[in-house]
Amino acid sequence: MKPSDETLMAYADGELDAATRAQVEAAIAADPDLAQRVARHRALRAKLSTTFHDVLNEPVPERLVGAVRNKPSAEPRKADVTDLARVRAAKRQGESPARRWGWPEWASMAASLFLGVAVGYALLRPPGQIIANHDGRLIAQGALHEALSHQLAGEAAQESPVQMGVSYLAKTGSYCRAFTTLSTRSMAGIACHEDGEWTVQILSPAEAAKTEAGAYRTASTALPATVVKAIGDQIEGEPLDAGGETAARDSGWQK
Amino acid sequence: MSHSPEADIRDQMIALLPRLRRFGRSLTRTAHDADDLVQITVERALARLDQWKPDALLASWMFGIMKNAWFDEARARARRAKIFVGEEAGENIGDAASESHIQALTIQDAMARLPGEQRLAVGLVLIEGLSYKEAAEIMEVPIGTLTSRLARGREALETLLSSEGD
Repeated sequence: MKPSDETLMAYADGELDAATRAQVEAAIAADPDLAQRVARHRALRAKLSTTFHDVLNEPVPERLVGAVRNKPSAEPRKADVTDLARVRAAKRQGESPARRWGWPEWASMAASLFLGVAVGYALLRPPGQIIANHDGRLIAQGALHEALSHQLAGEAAQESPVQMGVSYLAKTGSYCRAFTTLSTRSMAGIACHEDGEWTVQILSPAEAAKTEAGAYRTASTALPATVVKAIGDQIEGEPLDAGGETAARDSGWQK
Repeated sequence: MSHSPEADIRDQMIALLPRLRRFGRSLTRTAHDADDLVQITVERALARLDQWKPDALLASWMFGIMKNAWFDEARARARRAKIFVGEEAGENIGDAASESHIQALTIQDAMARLPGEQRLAVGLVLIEGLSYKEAAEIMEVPIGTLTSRLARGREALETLLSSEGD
């Protein structure tokens, strides 16, 4: 399957369902050109969001806070006659030169500080409970171990906090699987099956796929570029198709 | 201290102001115009508070109001431009890559050259981080339409930004 441009774009934006996403990941792992196109989509998105992000940290002009606070909503008005010319005229008359900072400015500054802390936290600390550090080896535990051992890529995972991506045989001879944790600090990674355990090889913060309501979208987080690249480096031959994945699972991920 | 529901909504609007300003900035060329657009949006929203259904997200509702205000403003400008030719030339909506000498383009410059519908799609999805579904609802178009506008907008931005070094 060769994904269309729009499908690749939707993949980069985290908009695909689990089954389609697994197919696209398989196609990407096999074709560096596709990986590059996805990377371009992501780079543009990152560039735009970084460029405009600073607006959130700017102090909000007092007149906007005033517009929310002061305008009596019951006031009868001619429908939508406002235009910029009128607003500008009103502003020329009423704007005071000295501006105090109201609480929204402080609130938005506090919010941006918190974001920095959250990102640092996600980078420094693997998600608790599902990954344990055994003498420097990161071993999947609990729900992550369960998902890696049993959950298939296309499977709707109602209760699982983990989503499975592409599976493949690595050059080392082990089966490896890509996964994404669905939580407030979404992480994506690869785990390989070694001696009955799943060793986490790479772990990277997944692109936050948060909706504006603060709800986390399920079934839609795309793999970070570092993870996709690592798959390309490790993979032996082609990714497993659905049949190969089921067979590997049923054999307990032993060759 | 007890709050009336309306006071709560006003608090929520104030908390939304930074995002409304950012969305405005992705639509208009200058910070000034963006803030004016936010002000109009706030005024319109307060005037029709009774039309807001609490199960709808306040942000989506206000983005929708801002989109309409922006289109209204663009139409008003087009009318004015017919009367005062040149006054606001180059700021019109839908001013795609039409200049022959393309100099170093900032992302904001490139955004300003996108046709309005594409700029909206890019602003809502890539800058505001909304899902395709949420963005399509705000734009009042089917998801397929949103997707193709987003794809074309991205392509145009890539082209505009890559001609920087020419």
